Amino acid sequence: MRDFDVIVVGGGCAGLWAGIASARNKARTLVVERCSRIGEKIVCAEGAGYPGLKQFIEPQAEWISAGIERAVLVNPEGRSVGIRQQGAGCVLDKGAFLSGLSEMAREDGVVILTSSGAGTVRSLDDGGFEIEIAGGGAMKRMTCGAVVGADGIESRVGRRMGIVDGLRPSDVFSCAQYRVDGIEVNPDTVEFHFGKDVSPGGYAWVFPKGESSANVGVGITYETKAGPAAIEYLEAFKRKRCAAAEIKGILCGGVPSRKSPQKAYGRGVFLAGDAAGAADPVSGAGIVPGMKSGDIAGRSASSYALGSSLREAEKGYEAGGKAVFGDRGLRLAVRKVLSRMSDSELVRMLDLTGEYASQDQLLHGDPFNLVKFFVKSMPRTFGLVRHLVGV
Amino acid sequence: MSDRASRGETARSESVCVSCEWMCGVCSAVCREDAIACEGGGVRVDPERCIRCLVCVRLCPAGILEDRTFEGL
Repeated sequence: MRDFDVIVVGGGCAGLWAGIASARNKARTLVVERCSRIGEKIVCAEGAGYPGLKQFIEPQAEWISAGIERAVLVNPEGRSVGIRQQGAGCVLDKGAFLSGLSEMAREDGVVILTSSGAGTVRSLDDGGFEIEIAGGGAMKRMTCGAVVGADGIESRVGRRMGIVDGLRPSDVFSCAQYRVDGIEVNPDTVEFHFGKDVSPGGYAWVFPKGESSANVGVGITYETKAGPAAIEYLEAFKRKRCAAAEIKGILCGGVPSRKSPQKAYGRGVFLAGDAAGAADPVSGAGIVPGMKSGDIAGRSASSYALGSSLREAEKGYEAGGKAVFGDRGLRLAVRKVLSRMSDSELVRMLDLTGEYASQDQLLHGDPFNLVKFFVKSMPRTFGLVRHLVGV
Repeated sequence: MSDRASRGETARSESVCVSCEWMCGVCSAVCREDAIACEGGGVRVDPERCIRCLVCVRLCPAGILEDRTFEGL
């Protein structure tokens, strides 16, 4: 008998939700996490939309650092435009959020092993897998019927199993973030700052974590990055936005997105979260897409482990992924157009946002809708079409 | 102290190792040659696989990897 029906590698929001989905499908499920506790290593701006979160879970007050009702977009000349939407989302305390998810997972019967890194994943003749799990100075081998790889941007499980290759450089935001105290913020407002000096090809953000603390970060892209690293842009942005704020923590990381996260499976291994490149290509949001892909991966893996044919499980993964990530190609194209826009084009676009602010019911706080709105309204004005060459 | 050691790099076997406190995995994720591993508090570059495309250098968010890191490969 196998040790577990499903082993999930990675205990972030995608992995934990995959574990929950698998256990709720009656599969004996193990989640292995290499950190010493769930939520120990957070590489995230922590923003999440309520509509997406509530598809899975009712957010608890203790998971939320700040409720968000307004976004401010700041153009390269410093002018800002506000978009208001009640109940848009929140900035999470992601450590508390993951801790809450892990409690839910345990209640659903998921076994969670921390300080446990997954090594080699080997296919067995019976269609199952053997995984090396290292922890506490010892190496164990555990068997299972299906595997979920939710092991982050590196996607070691996916690469070792030949499911995905290295990410294309243009499909990654290179990001750095400070957690600061003593910053002047509106606690219900997230800020996005654009411009080549601020964050070439991406944007800088200020996500409030309370009355006077925030996550302040930048994300830059390969295509426009010519010299300094993300952390150097971050330091410059902090000097400009909140020079006197005290840095309480520093994060570096990447936001990956893939063209086809719905195809991130193979031979009984199903990827989820950053490992599948599930993050939104336009906004970089990863929490809700991670949970969505975790849900699909957990259900597909458990279905296969419990007796469905491989093809049936893979079809389920692909159909679920298509429903969630079906517009991915278009969103990647929009992101690339945005990353190639000059500062003057960004200024014009954001100024027009102000002119059309009265139509903010069209925008719904989603940057993708904002861009669609402009491309549809004023394509010639922007000459954006030329940016599509080579996308 | 060797030039590489003065830059905080140490040679282990034939690989180039750079200490990194972030271990974010971006360099490894974008390496299409599978030449980079983030493990044990450092970034290890396999000289047999690395083709010096330097994509990892351009995307390293912390600026840990630099062009000169790869000079000896």
